[in-house]
Amino acid sequence: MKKLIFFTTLFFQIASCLSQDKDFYGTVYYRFQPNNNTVSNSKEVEQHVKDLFKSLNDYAADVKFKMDFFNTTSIFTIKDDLEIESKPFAKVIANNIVGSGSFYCDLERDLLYRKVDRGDFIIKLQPSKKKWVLSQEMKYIKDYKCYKAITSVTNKNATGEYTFEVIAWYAPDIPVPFGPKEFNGLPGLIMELKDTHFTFYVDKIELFPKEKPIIKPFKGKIITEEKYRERIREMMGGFIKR
Amino acid sequence: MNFSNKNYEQKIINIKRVSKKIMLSIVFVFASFAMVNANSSVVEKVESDEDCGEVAMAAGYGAHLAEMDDDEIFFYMNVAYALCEGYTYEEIMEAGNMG
Repeated sequence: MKKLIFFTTLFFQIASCLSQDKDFYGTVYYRFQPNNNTVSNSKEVEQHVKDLFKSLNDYAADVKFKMDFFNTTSIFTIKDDLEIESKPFAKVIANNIVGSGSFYCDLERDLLYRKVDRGDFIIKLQPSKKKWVLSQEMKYIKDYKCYKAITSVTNKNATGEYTFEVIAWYAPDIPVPFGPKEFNGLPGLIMELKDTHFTFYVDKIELFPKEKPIIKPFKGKIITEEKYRERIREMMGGFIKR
Repeated sequence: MNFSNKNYEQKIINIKRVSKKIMLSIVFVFASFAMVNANSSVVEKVESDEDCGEVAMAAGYGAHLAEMDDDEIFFYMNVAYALCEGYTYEEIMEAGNMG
């Protein structure tokens, strides 16, 4: 009965906002877990290296991410948490390895900015370049009916390019076209996202909080993804050449 | 995540070659950090028998095998090297090449 009341209220809240063309805003919190393709599960890697990777993952395990959204804009970043304040390096690990930085998205202007710590760069991307394949496969996550959508990500390193399938489960009942990292543009909030090496899970959803989130683009030097890769290679001493 | 058997050996050779090269720049960054802090207590490190270059290379090798991106590989190698050298997480942050 409680669930019925909750969903009915939520439905009318969303429907009311959409019909009256009011602002639609809120915050979604995500936690994460490593996938089974990480170094820790590789047979080729020495035990002390597996231990190192595992200890870094464990150290950052309590870090949560948050995604603020306001109509057609969103910001995905690490959640400021008192529990994590005593472990600032956990945030650094999560930011560099799990989240790959912070993301600002403006779907109306087809803008996506990725802010990385190294060098204060802002990498300009286009949300519309992310192509999704929607499927009818369905499962429930936190009592929401979610559908599967698939896209891909290509990692580049000095030994080649590697394309990963990324799987999102989105909830059409929550008409928020955003999700973790650069994964946006689906017809519903991404409740679960299996990325290249980590999976994000929705922890908590706050719709229409008392304080409206303030979403502003990042400030800094805007560069293209290719330029950023060049900079990384330079920071590595110019040794990374294909 | 599947390796083609045909290219596997070549890939391993490439990973090892690249990891060695990245190491040079990491050692340089941390060496610079140690020089800057030469008069502070920060650099009073316990001598380790481990070859930290090898440790970082092994981390880079693992990250390459997991098909990670350049910046993730660089991060793991930096952390592996710094932790092996006896730096704390806070000092690694202070060194400024993690982000």
